[in-house]
Amino acid sequence: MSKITLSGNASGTGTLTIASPNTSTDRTLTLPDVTGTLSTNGPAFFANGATSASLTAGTNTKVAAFSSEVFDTNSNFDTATSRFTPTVAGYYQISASVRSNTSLTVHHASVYKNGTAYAAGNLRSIASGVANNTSTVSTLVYLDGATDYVEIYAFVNATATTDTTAAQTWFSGVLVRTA
Amino acid sequence: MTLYEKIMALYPELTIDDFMTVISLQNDADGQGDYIAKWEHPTLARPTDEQLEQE
Repeated sequence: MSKITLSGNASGTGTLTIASPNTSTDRTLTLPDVTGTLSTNGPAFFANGATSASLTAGTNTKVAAFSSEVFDTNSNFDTATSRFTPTVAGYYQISASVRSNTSLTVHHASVYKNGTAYAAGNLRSIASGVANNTSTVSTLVYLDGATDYVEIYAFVNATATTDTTAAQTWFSGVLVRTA
Repeated sequence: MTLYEKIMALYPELTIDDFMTVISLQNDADGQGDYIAKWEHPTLARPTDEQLEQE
């Protein structure tokens, strides 16, 4: 028969309590047959691009527009810098949409990790410029829970500004699994 | 004049595609302005600061 050992931590002073829910039904919680750390609800955020950001032609420009949080469960998103720096290590699904109000022929959003291009989204490239271009990006990225951060950048062929309408320019992230 | 415009003035043969592939200009919205993050063009040399200042 396999066994269960409860092991305290010599460095800590807190008491770990395993609490039962309010139920009259017997339940069995089976632990996975792996070594690792069980996680509780991880960080998740969604922010709208409520601030108009300037995008420079021919330049991968950070979209410093995400100033309005819809939710930020672990206070890991900084609206002042439009930067997500989670405090829980793990693999995160990062998504964003960038919409510009300017007539463009090239419009391209990317996820940057620690200031370097990590994943490019769809490249909108059309023969004649049209207004209201939108480019989206979604990727899975490992963040160390300490110093790693992600931001959204955009590349356009002519100087542009981002759309501040809610739900048009946005940035979201969620912990998929811990490290 | 932006960094992109200065480089285009130096090398008019460059295209917007070049700036998505072999050349990467970057602006981190931190007040430091545009800079060359990558220059891997097969034939054109990375412009010097002096060349860019003259534009």
